[in-house]
Amino acid sequence: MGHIDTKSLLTRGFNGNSPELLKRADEAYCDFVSDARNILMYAQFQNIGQLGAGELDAAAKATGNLPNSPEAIKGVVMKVPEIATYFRVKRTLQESYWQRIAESYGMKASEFEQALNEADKTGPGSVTWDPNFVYPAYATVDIHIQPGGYTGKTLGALTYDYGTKIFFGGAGDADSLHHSMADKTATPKDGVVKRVMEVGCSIGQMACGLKKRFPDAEVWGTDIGAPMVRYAHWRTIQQGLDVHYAQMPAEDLDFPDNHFDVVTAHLLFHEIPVPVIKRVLNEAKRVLRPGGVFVLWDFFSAKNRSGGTNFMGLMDACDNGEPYAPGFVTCDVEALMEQAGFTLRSHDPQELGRAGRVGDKPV
Amino acid sequence: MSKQTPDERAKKLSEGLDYVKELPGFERGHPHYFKDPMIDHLLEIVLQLGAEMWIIRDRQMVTEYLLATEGKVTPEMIEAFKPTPEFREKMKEERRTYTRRVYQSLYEGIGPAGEAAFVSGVLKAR
Ligand SMILES: C[S@@+](CC[C@H](N)C(=O)[O-])C[C@H]1O[C@@H](n2cnc3c(N)ncnc32)[C@H](O)[C@@H]1O
Repeated sequence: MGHIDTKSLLTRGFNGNSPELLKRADEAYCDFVSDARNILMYAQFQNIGQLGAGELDAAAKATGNLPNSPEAIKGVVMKVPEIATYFRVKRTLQESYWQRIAESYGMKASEFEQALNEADKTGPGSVTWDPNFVYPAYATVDIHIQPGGYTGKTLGALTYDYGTKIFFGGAGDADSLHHSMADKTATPKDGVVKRVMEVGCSIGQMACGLKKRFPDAEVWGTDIGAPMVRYAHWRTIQQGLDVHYAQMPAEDLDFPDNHFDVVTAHLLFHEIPVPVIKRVLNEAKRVLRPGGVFVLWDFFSAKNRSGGTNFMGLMDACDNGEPYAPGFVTCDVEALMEQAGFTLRSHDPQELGRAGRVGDKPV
Repeated sequence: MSKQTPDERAKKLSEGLDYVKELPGFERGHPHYFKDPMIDHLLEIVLQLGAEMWIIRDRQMVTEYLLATEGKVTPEMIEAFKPTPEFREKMKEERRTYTRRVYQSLYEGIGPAGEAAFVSGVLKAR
Protein backbone atom coordinates (compact mmCIF):
# COMPACT_ATOMS: atom_id res chain seq x y z
CA MET A 1 0.00 0.00 0.00
CA GLY A 2 1.82 3.04 -1.23
CA HIS A 3 5.32 3.46 0.12
CA ILE A 4 4.35 3.46 3.75
CA ASP A 5 6.38 0.75 5.38
CA THR A 6 4.25 -0.06 8.36
CA LYS A 7 6.32 -3.15 9.19
CA SER A 8 9.33 -1.21 10.38
CA LEU A 9 7.12 1.37 12.08
CA LEU A 10 4.83 -1.08 13.86
CA THR A 11 7.35 -3.57 15.13
CA ARG A 12 4.64 -5.28 17.15
CA GLY A 13 2.07 -5.27 14.36
CA PHE A 14 -1.64 -4.58 14.60
CA ASN A 15 -4.33 -5.40 17.12
CA GLY A 16 -7.36 -5.61 14.86
CA ASN A 17 -7.15 -2.37 12.89
CA SER A 18 -5.24 -0.51 15.59
CA PRO A 19 -1.46 -0.36 15.90
CA GLU A 20 -0.08 -2.33 18.82
CA LEU A 21 1.81 -0.31 21.41
CA LEU A 22 5.53 -0.34 20.78
CA LYS A 23 6.55 -2.30 23.88
CA ARG A 24 5.18 -5.43 25.52
CA ALA A 25 5.40 -3.60 28.85
CA ASP A 26 3.14 -0.79 27.59
CA GLU A 27 0.56 -3.32 26.44
CA ALA A 28 0.68 -5.11 29.80
CA TYR A 29 0.27 -1.78 31.59
CA CYS A 30 -2.82 -0.96 29.52
CA ASP A 31 -4.22 -4.48 29.98
CA PHE A 32 -4.04 -3.89 33.70
CA VAL A 33 -5.68 -0.48 33.43
CA SER A 34 -8.43 -1.86 31.22
CA ASP A 35 -9.33 -4.66 33.62
CA ALA A 36 -8.97 -2.39 36.64
CA ARG A 37 -11.53 -0.08 35.02
CA ASN A 38 -13.93 -2.96 34.57
CA ILE A 39 -13.44 -4.36 38.06
CA LEU A 40 -12.91 -1.22 40.14
CA MET A 41 -15.12 1.20 38.17
CA TYR A 42 -17.78 -0.15 35.85
CA ALA A 43 -18.71 -2.98 38.22
CA GLN A 44 -19.27 -0.43 40.99
CA PHE A 45 -21.10 2.10 38.82
CA GLN A 46 -24.62 1.24 40.05
CA ASN A 47 -23.55 0.96 43.69
CA ILE A 48 -21.78 4.30 43.69
CA GLY A 49 -24.61 5.99 41.79
CA GLN A 50 -27.17 4.81 44.33
CA LEU A 51 -24.99 5.61 47.30
CA GLY A 52 -24.32 9.14 46.03
CA ALA A 53 -27.97 9.76 45.14
CA GLY A 54 -28.92 8.65 48.68
CA GLU A 55 -26.42 11.06 50.21
CA LEU A 56 -27.72 13.90 48.04
CA ASP A 57 -31.35 13.14 48.96
CA ALA A 58 -30.45 13.10 52.63
CA ALA A 59 -28.64 16.42 52.29
CA ALA A 60 -31.65 17.88 50.47
CA LYS A 61 -33.98 16.75 53.25
CA ALA A 62 -31.71 18.20 55.92
CA THR A 63 -31.10 21.56 54.26
CA GLY A 64 -34.18 22.04 52.09
CA ASN A 65 -32.33 22.22 48.79
CA LEU A 66 -30.71 19.68 46.53
CA PRO A 67 -27.02 20.40 45.94
CA ASN A 68 -26.53 20.93 42.21
CA SER A 69 -23.21 22.65 41.56
CA PRO A 70 -20.28 20.29 41.16
CA GLU A 71 -18.61 21.79 44.25
CA ALA A 72 -21.71 21.39 46.38
CA ILE A 73 -22.25 17.83 45.16
CA LYS A 74 -18.66 16.87 45.78
CA GLY A 75 -18.89 18.45 49.23
CA VAL A 76 -21.69 16.03 50.09
CA VAL A 77 -20.80 12.77 48.36
CA MET A 78 -17.02 12.67 48.78
CA LYS A 79 -17.44 12.31 52.52
CA VAL A 80 -18.23 8.67 51.77
CA PRO A 81 -14.81 7.03 51.38
CA GLU A 82 -15.98 4.52 48.74
CA ILE A 83 -17.32 7.32 46.56
CA ALA A 84 -14.10 9.29 46.86
CA THR A 85 -12.22 6.08 46.07
CA TYR A 86 -14.32 5.43 42.98
CA PHE A 87 -13.65 8.85 41.51
CA ARG A 88 -9.97 8.78 42.46
CA VAL A 89 -9.59 5.40 40.75
CA LYS A 90 -11.51 6.59 37.71
CA ARG A 91 -9.47 9.75 37.25
CA THR A 92 -6.13 8.05 37.87
CA LEU A 93 -6.78 5.17 35.49
CA GLN A 94 -7.99 7.57 32.83
CA GLU A 95 -4.94 9.83 33.17
CA SER A 96 -2.56 6.92 33.25
CA TYR A 97 -3.61 5.16 30.07
CA TRP A 98 -3.50 8.35 28.00
CA GLN A 99 -0.04 9.07 29.28
CA ARG A 100 1.31 5.58 28.73
CA ILE A 101 -0.10 5.27 25.21
CA ALA A 102 1.27 8.65 24.15
CA GLU A 103 4.67 7.74 25.60
CA SER A 104 4.71 4.42 23.82
CA TYR A 105 3.96 5.70 20.30
CA GLY A 106 5.96 8.81 21.16
CA MET A 107 9.14 6.72 20.93
CA LYS A 108 8.64 6.89 17.16
CA ALA A 109 6.84 10.22 16.93
CA SER A 110 8.69 11.51 13.88
CA GLU A 111 8.23 8.22 11.99
CA PHE A 112 4.49 8.29 12.67
CA GLU A 113 4.29 11.89 11.51
CA GLN A 114 6.16 10.90 8.36
CA ALA A 115 3.66 8.09 7.75
CA LEU A 116 0.78 10.57 8.03
CA ASN A 117 2.51 12.95 5.61
CA GLU A 118 2.88 10.14 3.09
CA ALA A 119 -0.67 8.93 3.58
CA ASP A 120 -1.95 12.46 2.87
CA LYS A 121 -0.84 11.90 -0.72
CA THR A 122 -1.79 8.22 -1.07
CA GLY A 123 -4.93 6.26 -1.93
CA PRO A 124 -7.24 4.43 -1.89
CA GLY A 125 -9.57 7.20 -0.80
CA SER A 126 -8.34 10.66 0.07
CA VAL A 127 -7.98 13.23 2.80
CA THR A 128 -8.16 17.01 2.76
CA TRP A 129 -7.30 19.26 5.68
CA ASP A 130 -6.20 22.80 6.25
CA PRO A 131 -2.93 23.42 8.10
CA ASN A 132 -4.15 26.97 8.81
CA PHE A 133 -7.48 25.95 10.30
CA VAL A 134 -8.30 27.88 13.47
CA TYR A 135 -10.33 25.86 15.98
CA PRO A 136 -13.27 27.41 17.79
CA ALA A 137 -12.60 27.25 21.54
CA TYR A 138 -15.37 24.72 22.15
CA ALA A 139 -13.47 22.16 20.05
CA THR A 140 -10.21 22.47 21.97
CA VAL A 141 -11.33 20.78 25.18
CA ASP A 142 -9.35 17.78 26.44
CA ILE A 143 -12.34 15.49 25.91
CA HIS A 144 -12.05 12.41 28.15
CA ILE A 145 -9.07 14.33 29.58
CA GLN A 146 -6.93 13.14 26.69
CA PRO A 147 -4.07 15.68 26.64
CA GLY A 148 -4.59 17.81 23.53
CA GLY A 149 -8.06 16.42 22.89
CA TYR A 150 -9.10 15.77 19.28
CA THR A 151 -7.45 18.78 17.81
CA GLY A 152 -4.27 19.72 19.65
CA LYS A 153 -1.70 17.02 18.81
CA THR A 154 -0.60 15.62 15.46
CA LEU A 155 -0.58 12.08 16.85
CA GLY A 156 -3.66 12.60 19.01
CA ALA A 157 -5.78 10.28 16.91
CA LEU A 158 -3.28 7.44 17.16
CA THR A 159 -3.38 7.75 20.93
CA TYR A 160 -7.17 8.02 20.81
CA ASP A 161 -7.39 4.79 18.80
CA TYR A 162 -5.77 2.62 21.48
CA GLY A 163 -7.33 4.66 24.27
CA THR A 164 -10.90 4.08 23.12
CA LYS A 165 -10.28 0.34 23.19
CA ILE A 166 -9.67 0.72 26.89
CA PHE A 167 -12.51 3.18 27.22
CA PHE A 168 -14.94 0.65 25.78
CA GLY A 169 -13.82 -1.92 28.33
CA GLY A 170 -11.59 -3.79 25.91
CA ALA A 171 -14.54 -4.56 23.64
CA GLY A 172 -14.88 -3.63 20.00
CA ASP A 173 -11.71 -5.26 18.70
CA ALA A 174 -11.40 -4.94 14.94
CA ASP A 175 -14.00 -2.18 15.25
CA SER A 176 -16.84 -4.68 15.59
CA LEU A 177 -18.95 -2.27 17.65
CA HIS A 178 -18.72 0.46 15.02
CA HIS A 179 -19.34 -1.95 12.21
CA SER A 180 -22.47 -3.26 13.88
CA MET A 181 -23.71 0.34 14.19
CA ALA A 182 -22.92 0.90 10.52
CA ASP A 183 -24.88 -2.22 9.63
CA LYS A 184 -27.88 -0.98 11.62
CA THR A 185 -27.80 2.53 10.19
CA ALA A 186 -31.15 3.29 8.57
CA THR A 187 -31.37 3.96 4.83
CA PRO A 188 -33.76 6.22 2.88
CA LYS A 189 -37.23 4.80 2.39
CA ASP A 190 -36.70 4.64 -1.38
CA GLY A 191 -33.61 2.50 -0.79
CA VAL A 192 -31.26 4.66 -2.87
CA VAL A 193 -27.83 5.00 -1.27
CA LYS A 194 -25.21 6.62 -3.49
CA ARG A 195 -23.52 9.03 -1.08
CA VAL A 196 -23.06 8.50 2.65
CA MET A 197 -21.32 10.65 5.23
CA GLU A 198 -20.41 10.28 8.86
CA VAL A 199 -19.89 13.64 10.58
CA GLY A 200 -17.53 13.67 13.57
CA CYS A 201 -15.94 10.50 12.23
CA SER A 202 -12.78 10.51 14.41
CA ILE A 203 -10.57 7.65 13.25
CA GLY A 204 -13.02 6.39 10.64
CA GLN A 205 -14.15 3.16 12.30
CA MET A 206 -17.80 3.69 11.43
CA ALA A 207 -17.04 5.21 8.01
CA CYS A 208 -15.13 2.03 7.15
CA GLY A 209 -18.10 -0.02 8.33
CA LEU A 210 -20.35 2.05 6.07
CA LYS A 211 -18.02 1.48 3.12
CA LYS A 212 -18.12 -2.26 3.73
CA ARG A 213 -21.88 -2.17 3.86
CA PHE A 214 -22.27 0.10 0.81
CA PRO A 215 -19.26 -0.81 -1.35
CA ASP A 216 -20.64 0.99 -4.39
CA ALA A 217 -21.50 4.22 -2.59
CA GLU A 218 -19.22 7.23 -2.18
CA VAL A 219 -18.46 7.28 1.54
CA TRP A 220 -17.24 10.36 3.39
CA GLY A 221 -15.94 10.83 6.90
CA THR A 222 -15.68 14.41 8.10
CA ASP A 223 -14.38 15.74 11.40
CA ILE A 224 -13.33 19.10 12.76
CA GLY A 225 -9.95 17.73 13.86
CA ALA A 226 -7.14 17.54 11.31
CA PRO A 227 -5.31 14.90 13.39
CA MET A 228 -8.46 12.78 13.25
CA VAL A 229 -9.10 12.79 9.51
CA ARG A 230 -5.42 12.36 8.65
CA TYR A 231 -5.04 9.33 10.88
CA ALA A 232 -8.45 7.99 9.78
CA HIS A 233 -7.18 8.05 6.21
CA TRP A 234 -3.94 6.28 7.14
CA ARG A 235 -5.92 3.65 9.06
CA THR A 236 -8.37 3.18 6.21
CA ILE A 237 -5.53 2.69 3.72
CA GLN A 238 -4.29 -0.17 5.90
CA GLN A 239 -7.68 -1.80 5.41
CA GLY A 240 -7.59 -1.20 1.66
CA LEU A 241 -10.85 0.74 1.72
CA ASP A 242 -11.80 3.68 -0.47
CA VAL A 243 -13.20 6.34 1.87
CA HIS A 244 -12.89 10.11 1.56
CA TYR A 245 -12.01 12.13 4.62
CA ALA A 246 -12.13 15.86 5.08
CA GLN A 247 -11.56 18.31 7.89
CA MET A 248 -14.91 20.08 8.15
CA PRO A 249 -16.98 21.31 11.06
CA ALA A 250 -20.29 19.45 10.91
CA GLU A 251 -22.08 22.79 11.22
CA ASP A 252 -20.28 24.27 8.21
CA LEU A 253 -19.88 21.59 5.56
CA ASP A 254 -18.29 22.25 2.23
CA PHE A 255 -20.88 20.28 0.24
CA PRO A 256 -23.73 21.42 -2.02
CA ASP A 257 -27.38 21.23 -1.01
CA ASN A 258 -29.26 17.93 -1.50
CA HIS A 259 -26.04 15.97 -1.94
CA PHE A 260 -26.16 12.97 0.42
CA ASP A 261 -28.56 10.05 0.85
CA VAL A 262 -27.45 9.23 4.39
CA VAL A 263 -25.76 11.40 7.01
CA THR A 264 -24.95 9.87 10.36
CA ALA A 265 -23.32 10.99 13.59
CA HIS A 266 -22.06 8.48 16.14
CA LEU A 267 -21.23 9.83 19.60
CA LEU A 268 -20.69 13.35 18.26
CA PHE A 269 -23.67 15.18 19.74
CA HIS A 270 -22.84 14.70 23.42
CA GLU A 271 -19.45 16.27 22.72
CA ILE A 272 -20.65 19.56 21.22
CA PRO A 273 -22.57 22.46 22.80
CA VAL A 274 -26.35 22.60 22.23
CA PRO A 275 -26.20 25.65 19.91
CA VAL A 276 -23.78 23.68 17.73
CA ILE A 277 -26.14 20.67 17.78
CA LYS A 278 -28.84 22.89 16.29
CA ARG A 279 -26.48 24.16 13.60
CA VAL A 280 -25.35 20.64 12.77
CA LEU A 281 -28.95 19.48 12.37
CA ASN A 282 -29.70 22.35 10.01
CA GLU A 283 -26.56 21.65 8.03
CA ALA A 284 -27.33 17.92 7.82
CA LYS A 285 -30.79 18.77 6.55
CA ARG A 286 -29.27 21.07 3.93
CA VAL A 287 -26.81 18.55 2.52
CA LEU A 288 -29.31 15.66 2.53
CA ARG A 289 -31.47 15.24 -0.54
CA PRO A 290 -35.25 15.11 -0.12
CA GLY A 291 -36.00 11.63 1.17
CA GLY A 292 -32.49 11.37 2.62
CA VAL A 293 -32.02 10.20 6.17
CA PHE A 294 -30.15 11.48 9.21
CA VAL A 295 -29.21 8.86 11.80
CA LEU A 296 -28.06 9.97 15.23
CA TRP A 297 -26.33 7.51 17.54
CA ASP A 298 -25.75 8.86 20.99
CA PHE A 299 -26.68 8.71 24.68
CA PHE A 300 -30.27 8.44 25.76
CA SER A 301 -31.92 11.67 26.75
CA ALA A 302 -32.48 12.24 30.45
CA LYS A 303 -36.23 11.87 29.91
CA ASN A 304 -35.70 8.29 28.68
CA ARG A 305 -33.62 7.22 31.65
CA SER A 306 -34.47 6.08 35.11
CA GLY A 307 -33.32 8.52 37.81
CA GLY A 308 -30.22 8.45 39.95
CA THR A 309 -27.56 8.84 37.29
CA ASN A 310 -27.51 12.63 37.10
CA PHE A 311 -24.80 13.07 39.65
CA MET A 312 -22.64 10.45 37.95
CA GLY A 313 -23.17 12.30 34.69
CA LEU A 314 -22.21 15.61 36.21
CA MET A 315 -19.09 14.09 37.73
CA ASP A 316 -18.18 12.66 34.35
CA ALA A 317 -18.72 16.08 32.82
CA CYS A 318 -16.43 17.93 35.17
CA ASP A 319 -13.69 15.41 35.88
CA ASN A 320 -13.67 13.29 32.74
CA GLY A 321 -13.70 16.10 30.19
CA GLU A 322 -17.31 15.89 29.03
CA PRO A 323 -18.47 19.50 29.48
CA TYR A 324 -21.20 19.25 26.85
CA ALA A 325 -22.76 15.90 27.77
CA PRO A 326 -25.19 17.24 30.43
CA GLY A 327 -26.47 19.80 27.90
CA PHE A 328 -27.01 17.07 25.35
CA VAL A 329 -28.93 14.65 27.57
CA THR A 330 -31.28 17.41 28.72
CA CYS A 331 -31.77 19.20 25.39
CA ASP A 332 -34.52 16.93 23.98
CA VAL A 333 -32.65 16.20 20.82
CA GLU A 334 -35.66 14.48 19.25
CA ALA A 335 -37.57 17.76 19.44
CA LEU A 336 -34.55 19.59 17.99
CA MET A 337 -34.47 17.15 15.08
CA GLU A 338 -38.11 17.87 14.41
CA GLN A 339 -37.51 21.62 14.68
CA ALA A 340 -34.77 21.26 12.07
CA GLY A 341 -37.37 19.74 9.76
CA PHE A 342 -36.78 16.01 10.10
CA THR A 343 -39.62 13.52 10.45
CA LEU A 344 -38.72 11.06 13.18
CA ARG A 345 -39.40 7.40 12.47
CA SER A 346 -39.92 6.59 16.14
CA HIS A 347 -40.09 8.15 19.59
CA ASP A 348 -39.99 4.83 21.41
CA PRO A 349 -36.85 4.71 23.61
CA GLN A 350 -36.41 1.00 22.87
CA GLU A 351 -36.36 1.75 19.16
CA LEU A 352 -33.99 4.66 19.73
CA GLY A 353 -31.71 2.22 21.53
CA ARG A 354 -31.75 -0.29 18.72
CA ALA A 355 -31.77 1.99 15.71
CA GLY A 356 -30.56 5.37 16.90
CA ARG A 357 -32.69 8.42 16.19
CA VAL A 358 -33.75 8.25 12.58
CA GLY A 359 -35.02 11.40 10.87
CA ASP A 360 -36.21 11.58 7.26
CA LYS A 361 -35.88 14.77 5.25
CA PRO A 362 -39.36 15.23 3.80
CA VAL A 363 -39.72 14.65 0.06
CA MET B 1 -12.97 25.81 1.21
CA SER B 2 -14.94 28.89 2.24
CA LYS B 3 -13.75 32.36 1.36
CA GLN B 4 -13.44 33.63 4.92
CA THR B 5 -10.03 33.76 6.58
CA PRO B 6 -9.40 31.02 9.14
CA ASP B 7 -9.80 33.56 11.95
CA GLU B 8 -13.10 34.84 10.59
CA ARG B 9 -14.37 31.32 10.25
CA ALA B 10 -13.35 30.42 13.80
CA LYS B 11 -15.13 33.53 15.04
CA LYS B 12 -18.26 32.52 13.18
CA LEU B 13 -18.06 28.96 14.53
CA SER B 14 -17.73 30.38 18.06
CA GLU B 15 -20.75 32.70 17.84
CA GLY B 16 -22.92 32.56 20.94
CA LEU B 17 -20.59 30.06 22.58
CA ASP B 18 -18.64 32.16 25.07
CA TYR B 19 -20.58 30.45 27.83
CA VAL B 20 -18.89 27.10 27.21
CA LYS B 21 -15.69 28.30 28.91
CA GLU B 22 -17.60 28.43 32.19
CA LEU B 23 -18.95 24.87 31.93
CA PRO B 24 -17.67 22.32 34.46
CA GLY B 25 -15.10 20.22 32.65
CA PHE B 26 -14.09 22.79 30.06
CA GLU B 27 -10.78 23.09 31.93
CA ARG B 28 -9.25 19.75 32.84
CA GLY B 29 -8.37 20.80 36.39
CA HIS B 30 -6.52 18.77 39.02
CA PRO B 31 -9.26 17.28 41.14
CA HIS B 32 -8.71 15.42 44.34
CA TYR B 33 -11.45 13.61 46.14
CA PHE B 34 -10.36 13.04 49.71
CA LYS B 35 -10.21 15.77 52.28
CA ASP B 36 -6.58 14.91 52.76
CA PRO B 37 -5.04 14.99 49.26
CA MET B 38 -2.32 12.65 50.47
CA ILE B 39 -4.90 9.85 50.36
CA ASP B 40 -5.44 10.65 46.69
CA HIS B 41 -1.71 10.46 46.10
CA LEU B 42 -1.38 7.18 47.96
CA LEU B 43 -4.19 5.60 45.93
CA GLU B 44 -2.54 6.81 42.74
CA ILE B 45 0.75 5.30 43.81
CA VAL B 46 -0.93 2.02 44.76
CA LEU B 47 -2.57 1.79 41.33
CA GLN B 48 0.70 2.57 39.56
CA LEU B 49 2.49 -0.05 41.61
CA GLY B 50 -0.25 -2.54 40.76
CA ALA B 51 0.29 -1.87 37.07
CA GLU B 52 4.08 -2.11 37.35
CA MET B 53 3.75 -5.38 39.24
CA TRP B 54 1.48 -6.76 36.54
CA ILE B 55 4.02 -5.81 33.86
CA ILE B 56 6.56 -8.04 35.61
CA ARG B 57 4.10 -10.91 35.99
CA ASP B 58 3.12 -10.58 32.34
CA ARG B 59 6.76 -10.78 31.29
CA GLN B 60 7.34 -13.74 33.50
CA MET B 61 4.36 -15.61 32.08
CA VAL B 62 5.53 -14.90 28.53
CA THR B 63 9.08 -15.94 29.40
CA GLU B 64 7.94 -19.24 30.87
CA TYR B 65 5.66 -19.90 27.91
CA LEU B 66 8.45 -19.28 25.42
CA LEU B 67 10.90 -21.42 27.37
CA ALA B 68 8.39 -24.24 27.50
CA THR B 69 7.44 -24.04 23.83
CA GLU B 70 10.63 -22.78 22.14
CA GLY B 71 13.29 -23.88 24.58
CA LYS B 72 14.81 -20.38 24.65
CA VAL B 73 13.85 -16.77 25.14
CA THR B 74 15.27 -13.39 24.07
CA PRO B 75 14.00 -9.83 24.62
CA GLU B 76 13.09 -9.73 20.91
CA MET B 77 11.01 -12.88 21.25
CA ILE B 78 9.13 -11.34 24.15
CA GLU B 79 8.40 -8.17 22.19
CA ALA B 80 7.24 -10.13 19.15
CA PHE B 81 5.15 -12.57 21.19
CA LYS B 82 1.51 -12.91 20.12
CA PRO B 83 -0.41 -15.12 22.54
CA THR B 84 -2.77 -17.83 21.31
CA PRO B 85 -6.40 -17.12 22.20
CA GLU B 86 -6.17 -19.73 24.98
CA PHE B 87 -3.04 -18.21 26.47
CA ARG B 88 -4.51 -14.71 26.17
CA GLU B 89 -7.56 -15.89 28.11
CA LYS B 90 -5.36 -17.52 30.74
CA MET B 91 -3.41 -14.28 31.24
CA LYS B 92 -6.61 -12.32 31.49
CA GLU B 93 -7.97 -14.67 34.14
CA GLU B 94 -4.72 -14.38 36.07
CA ARG B 95 -4.82 -10.58 35.80
CA ARG B 96 -8.40 -10.36 36.99
CA THR B 97 -7.77 -12.63 39.95
CA TYR B 98 -4.70 -10.59 40.83
CA THR B 99 -6.56 -7.27 40.55
CA ARG B 100 -9.47 -8.48 42.64
CA ARG B 101 -7.17 -9.88 45.29
CA VAL B 102 -5.00 -6.79 45.59
CA TYR B 103 -7.83 -4.26 45.65
CA GLN B 104 -10.63 -6.25 47.28
CA SER B 105 -10.73 -4.10 50.41
CA LEU B 106 -11.49 -0.87 48.55
CA TYR B 107 -15.26 -1.35 48.31
CA GLU B 108 -15.73 -3.82 51.14
CA GLY B 109 -18.16 -1.52 52.88
CA ILE B 110 -20.72 -1.26 50.11
CA GLY B 111 -21.74 -4.75 49.10
CA PRO B 112 -21.11 -6.88 46.04
CA ALA B 113 -20.08 -5.44 42.69
CA GLY B 114 -22.38 -5.51 39.70
CA GLU B 115 -21.66 -6.86 36.27
CA ALA B 116 -18.36 -5.46 35.01
CA ALA B 117 -19.29 -4.09 31.64
CA PHE B 118 -19.12 -0.84 29.78
CA VAL B 119 -22.07 1.26 30.84
CA SER B 120 -23.34 3.73 28.31
CA GLY B 121 -26.65 5.12 27.26
CA VAL B 122 -25.86 4.14 23.70
CA LEU B 123 -25.30 0.52 24.41
CA LYS B 124 -27.77 -0.12 27.15
CA ALA B 125 -30.98 1.67 28.10
CA ARG B 126 -31.11 2.12 31.83
C1 LIG C 1 -16.40 10.69 20.46
S1 LIG C 1 -15.74 11.22 18.95
C2 LIG C 1 -16.79 10.31 17.86
C3 LIG C 1 -16.11 9.23 17.26
C4 LIG C 1 -16.64 8.46 16.09
N1 LIG C 1 -17.81 9.00 15.47
C5 LIG C 1 -16.87 7.08 16.59
O1 LIG C 1 -17.96 6.60 16.44
O2 LIG C 1 -15.94 6.50 17.11
C6 LIG C 1 -16.25 12.84 18.57
C7 LIG C 1 -15.58 13.40 17.33
O3 LIG C 1 -16.28 14.55 16.92
C8 LIG C 1 -15.37 15.51 16.47
N2 LIG C 1 -16.01 16.82 16.52
C9 LIG C 1 -16.20 17.63 17.59
N3 LIG C 1 -16.86 18.75 17.22
C10 LIG C 1 -17.08 18.63 15.89
C11 LIG C 1 -17.73 19.45 14.93
N4 LIG C 1 -18.26 20.61 15.26
N5 LIG C 1 -17.77 19.02 13.66
C12 LIG C 1 -17.24 17.85 13.30
N6 LIG C 1 -16.62 17.03 14.17
C13 LIG C 1 -16.54 17.42 15.44
C14 LIG C 1 -14.16 15.35 17.34
O4 LIG C 1 -13.01 15.86 16.71
C15 LIG C 1 -14.15 13.83 17.53
O5 LIG C 1 -13.33 13.22 16.59
